[in-house]
Amino acid sequence: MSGDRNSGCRTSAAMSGSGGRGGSGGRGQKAGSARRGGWEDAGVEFYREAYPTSVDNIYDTRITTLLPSKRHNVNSLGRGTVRRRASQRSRRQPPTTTATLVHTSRRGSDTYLEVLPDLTQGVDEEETWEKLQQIRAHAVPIEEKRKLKQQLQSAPTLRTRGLAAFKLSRRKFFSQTKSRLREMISKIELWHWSLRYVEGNFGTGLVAFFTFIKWLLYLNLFTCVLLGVFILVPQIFLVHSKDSCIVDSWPNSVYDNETFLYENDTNCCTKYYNEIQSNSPKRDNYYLIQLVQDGVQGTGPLELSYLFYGYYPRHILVLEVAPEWKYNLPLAYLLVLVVTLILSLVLMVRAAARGLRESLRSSEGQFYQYCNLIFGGWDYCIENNKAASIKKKAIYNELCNHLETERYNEEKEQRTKKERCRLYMVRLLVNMVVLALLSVSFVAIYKSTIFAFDHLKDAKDSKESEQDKLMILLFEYLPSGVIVTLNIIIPYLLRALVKLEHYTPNSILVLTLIRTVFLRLASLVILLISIYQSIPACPDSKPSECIDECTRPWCWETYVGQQLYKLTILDLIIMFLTTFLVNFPLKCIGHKLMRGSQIGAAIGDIEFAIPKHVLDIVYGQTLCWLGMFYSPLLPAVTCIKLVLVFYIKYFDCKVNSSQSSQLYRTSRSNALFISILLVSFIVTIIPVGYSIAEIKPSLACGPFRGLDTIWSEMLAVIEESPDWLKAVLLFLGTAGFAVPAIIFLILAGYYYYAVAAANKHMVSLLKNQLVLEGHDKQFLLSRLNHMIKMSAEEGGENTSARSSRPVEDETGHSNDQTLEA
Amino acid sequence: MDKLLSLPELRANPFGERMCLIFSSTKDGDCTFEDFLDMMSVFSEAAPKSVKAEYAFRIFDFDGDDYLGRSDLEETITKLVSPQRFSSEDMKALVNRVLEEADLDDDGMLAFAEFEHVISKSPDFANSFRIRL
Repeated sequence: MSGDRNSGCRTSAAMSGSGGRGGSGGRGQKAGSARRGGWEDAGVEFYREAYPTSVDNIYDTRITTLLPSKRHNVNSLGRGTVRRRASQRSRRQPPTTTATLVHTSRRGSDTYLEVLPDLTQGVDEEETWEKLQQIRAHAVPIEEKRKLKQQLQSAPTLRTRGLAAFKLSRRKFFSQTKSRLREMISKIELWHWSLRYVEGNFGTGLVAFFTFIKWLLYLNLFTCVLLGVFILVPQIFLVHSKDSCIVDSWPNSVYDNETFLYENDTNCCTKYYNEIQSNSPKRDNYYLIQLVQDGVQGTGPLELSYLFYGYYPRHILVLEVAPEWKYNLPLAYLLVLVVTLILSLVLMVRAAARGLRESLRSSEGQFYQYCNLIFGGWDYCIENNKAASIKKKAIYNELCNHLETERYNEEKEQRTKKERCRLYMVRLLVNMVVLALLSVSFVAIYKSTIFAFDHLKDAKDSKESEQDKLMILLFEYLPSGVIVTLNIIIPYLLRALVKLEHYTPNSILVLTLIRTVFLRLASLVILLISIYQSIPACPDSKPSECIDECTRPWCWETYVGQQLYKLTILDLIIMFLTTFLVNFPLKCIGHKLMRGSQIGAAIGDIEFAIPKHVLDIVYGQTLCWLGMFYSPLLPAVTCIKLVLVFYIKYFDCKVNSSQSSQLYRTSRSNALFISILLVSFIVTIIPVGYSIAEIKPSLACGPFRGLDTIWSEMLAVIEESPDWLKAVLLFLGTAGFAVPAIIFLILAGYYYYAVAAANKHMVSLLKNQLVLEGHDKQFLLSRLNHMIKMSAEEGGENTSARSSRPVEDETGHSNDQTLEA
Repeated sequence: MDKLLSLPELRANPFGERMCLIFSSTKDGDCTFEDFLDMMSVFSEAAPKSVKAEYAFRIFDFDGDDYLGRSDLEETITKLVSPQRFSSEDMKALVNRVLEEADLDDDGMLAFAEFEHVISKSPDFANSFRIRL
């Protein structure tokens, strides 16, 4: 334990809270001897000399430079690899896993020339070109590379002809265009300079967050384009036949509760619904406020626009000039949405797998936390001194944390049984309290939604007065307000509670993140459930009735779309308000007015807490996915929102926040963000899938009116398709296909798991072998040194006039360089 | 060398002097244009990982003996956290941990092969060992 208060690590205070994200706890902490697994220490049987480490003995270092491993040169330009028969033609790229390149000793620059390749054999153009490409991988100065290139180009080459020449020129062309394209794209990257600024001042960890926003923006743009091309553009440019509706008499009052029977089932419903919407009484006072309110809520003129599901007709669209070209809009609507969701999933899984692969690679068996931190910890992009000193402090904190974690783990093992019991009781209690908190918040959201909904109906029915208008506004926003309040309060409580549980800092972070994610997603789900409850809250009506006896929205899909649209806009407004009206004043007060005082620092120092901001972004994206089916333009709205969010967060980071003392690792951050996104994606698929498959679409609007479920559209299309396709598709749904498929997948998974386990075992065996070989080498070297010394002494005793050259003769190597100091 | 160290990219870097020394062809810290070009090309994003590992090894090898011994590691850590200091027990513990993780043949130093092995497993190295102009 560090007794020195000035320069030692902080003691147990470092455990709670302010330390950074430590590595994965105790995973790599094996004692040195345990690494050699099943090999026992040679204690008694063998006599082990205490061989010196190489820095003591100068002869040792001279001799070690003669070892083959020091002159190892494995590049595909040269000769001699460790692999015994490596053919050069078959390798297209330089071997990425083999060890050293031109690792030259620094004792004399002419050693460079020794390891250059032998170019006297006749090589053909393709090999020459490949070797030229790989000059870049040499770790020598530019002059040498130039010489090498000249040598290669001036060496006589055999010309390739015919097909080989064509293939070679094509390869050259492709690689050139690829590199030029990459360069061009990197120059016109979006927000290039903003990201550079963040990188230079805050480090690469924070850049990962902004890059995540950018990636999401691209994903949403892609979704937008798909939806736009397949749904929006046909709707705008193609036309459809009019709804025919024969009706006896129109009802007088809009809110008449009588039921109507129409000859033609749903067409009249639609017409009626459209009429109601366009003739709804306009409140002409406060026109601007009305407009703003409509814009935010999606009511009024926006309700019957391209924005919502209700506007799209159940018709086959045709081109005006060429009526034979048909476009089945309902089918397109359904298919495009399903395909978009699948493509988004594929893209996300690819991005997550990339990050996962890296983090898995770094932890196969042993996790290199110290090496990673010390060798890879410094960010070479940092440009200003203040950021550099903060970064140094962060690295210092993290190293201290690692040491503390180790000591903590040692202590943990020595904990008495009584203490352990107490700790587990405390943890259990805290978990129960957290569960209670979460369930209370869910119940609150549910109750408030139902309450608001009921009272909204009442308020709309009654005569309008000033007070009622205010009440209507209040009730509209009550559920969202409750969710937002809970989202602010509960994380604070969670963070306070988790301190009692005495976990390592990394576990604390992950646990808090999981609980907060749970809260946010589940509150959304509760909202959806409450909406769902209020939709078919009526008894089953006859299929030809438009208006039921109970009052529910004419077009429930549009209603759901409106709710989600409203939540999206509200989310944006709240982010804006928090940044500009809460954080900015706090910072101004803290830093400018109360400069220098403790309270000022406490108020003004706001850290840019990445997990909280990531959750904001993920929440917005979840809303987008949920609402995509009911509001095809919601991805476009989300795109615009993401652009604004980027600048809001950028302002927050640049102006409001003080430098964070936590170290954020880019690689793991990326994987973490995208896996949270995946989790929320899976959570959103369930409600959307259920509503497509089970809920009856409303009669008055939308492309699927009159059907039993939305999915029956798809089934109808399958019915009409050719027999073989129908047979295949129907077969895919049966158990005869699903069960063997699942069994096959399980077997494949198990096979890969077994292979991985075998490889791991092999790796540990080889590591042990390596350690033994190392010991052998040191033993032999020390013996050699011993012999050299003894013979040198004898030689020096015999003749004093002779120089020490015989020493070199004895070793049998005539290479002078290495034996000169 | 002072002019180089006043560049924004090298200004705040604790290893700035080491970098100048390594890349300078006259070995005294002054770089010609070609040396500077070398440095920027190694630190660019397109440089292969093996080249970066090679030069990183040279940067961390303070005493120039082609091995990262204990003194090299201690010097690296000291430079990395510089206004803060570790006590000698902490430093020893840290160096022991690093050697435990990376020293495969257990000789108390890191050879280049071991260093490169660790670097290839380190996910942050590729991201952080670069300078963007």
